[in-house]
Amino acid sequence: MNDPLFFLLQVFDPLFPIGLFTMSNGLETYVSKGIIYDTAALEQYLEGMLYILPYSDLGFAAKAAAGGDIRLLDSLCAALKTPYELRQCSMRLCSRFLKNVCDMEDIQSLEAYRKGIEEGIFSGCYPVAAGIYIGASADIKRGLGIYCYNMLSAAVNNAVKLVPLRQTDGQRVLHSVLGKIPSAVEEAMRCDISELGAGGFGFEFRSMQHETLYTRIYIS
Amino acid sequence: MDKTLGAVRGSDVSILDITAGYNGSRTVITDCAFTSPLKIARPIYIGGLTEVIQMSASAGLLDGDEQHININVGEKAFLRFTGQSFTKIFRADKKGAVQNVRISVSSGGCLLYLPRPVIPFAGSRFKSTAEIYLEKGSRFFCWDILSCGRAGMGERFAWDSCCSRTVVYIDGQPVFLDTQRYIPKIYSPAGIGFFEGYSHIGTAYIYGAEDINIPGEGSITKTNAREGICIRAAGNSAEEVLGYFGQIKLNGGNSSWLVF
Repeated sequence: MNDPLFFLLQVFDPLFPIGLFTMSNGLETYVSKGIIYDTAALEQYLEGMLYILPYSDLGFAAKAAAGGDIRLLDSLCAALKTPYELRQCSMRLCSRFLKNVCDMEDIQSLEAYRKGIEEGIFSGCYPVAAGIYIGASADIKRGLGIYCYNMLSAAVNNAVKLVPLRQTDGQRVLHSVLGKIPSAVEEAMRCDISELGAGGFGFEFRSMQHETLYTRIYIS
Repeated sequence: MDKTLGAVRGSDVSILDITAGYNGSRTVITDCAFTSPLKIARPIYIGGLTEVIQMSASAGLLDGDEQHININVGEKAFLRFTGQSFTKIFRADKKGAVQNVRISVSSGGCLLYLPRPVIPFAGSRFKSTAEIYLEKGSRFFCWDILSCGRAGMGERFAWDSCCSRTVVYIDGQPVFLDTQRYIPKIYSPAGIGFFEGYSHIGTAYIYGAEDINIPGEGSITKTNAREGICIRAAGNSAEEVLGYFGQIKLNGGNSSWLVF
């Protein structure tokens, strides 16, 4: 790998073709129920995400990046994704991520994960795949930060379209929470594997309600 | 877990260990041990099911208290385990309170684990874990209800920390993982992503049912977990959440075992 920064920016760009734009992770429920309707509510949503991410997706990525037991992380991550749609989306993102990245780069650990999924040893979870990729890059902390940014940016893009909000307002809210990414990354790297699994009751509840939402544009 | 129960006498550690089995005519408690303040009432036999009520000589969990509850349900046994009163968590200045629950249900066995709602008082610290080991062919239902505090006194999220972790394993494989981490000083659980304005939240999990029906109206929702079904409900009183859960009905198949 040359400077891994550019590779990290590419694969964790919200436009990287793994289907991120079709998933709202429950945000569509929040908007349709009138809970998120302005920039203040969106900011609270993003801050809630940042509080919980070190113990969920970002935490799993951090443990996988640090060389944790992939089999354990994969099975725990699949069990954590309780809402059916979130579990399906994680698997979908994972398979497309692996296909795209493995076509471009030769990373043994990622190839092994892909093979394990094909053989049915692993479920295939996007945070674990992302973590393995980050682990293979030179700078884990920076990789996790970019991955975290990617999740926040995707949420803002969805909110701007769903509410709708002005693009500049969306970016302003995103900008206001960026300062909290480093501490989220530190916490994700610090916390013990037994602390992983927090989803946030409300986040989970809205993702579950999404299954029976009257009008659905997103698949989660 | 320490099986030499005498060794912990006089300490803040209390243990409740019960095993339920089927004796050919009904479900009986085949083995039981407990240390103060935990104990159980005489089992109640209701039709095909046996109910055990966990009691405590203490008003709740005090600072430094550690409870270990171990429930084993054997083949063909049908047990309902419930509590005597709401679980009150008192103010803690030192260690806080811990509760560890370990459950195993054999194939052909059935357990309804229905603890009373948890009320963490202002300044309390509570950490609970539940490890649930199910065999294929078993049936299991549990719920877990958490309040924002003594809501009637206007106490909302005044606790220091309240963290819980529930893992359900089926034949050793984790299929349902639910961790809650509420530390108001770091992040208020009142808003979006967490309690969202409600004062009470509840999570239920069922295994061994093909499908279930939940009320069509109100703040209750369900999803298919990796295995089993997860149900979540929120409300402004424990009764409201329990009311939602009480309306869960099995859809098709053997419909007689979900008895609240």
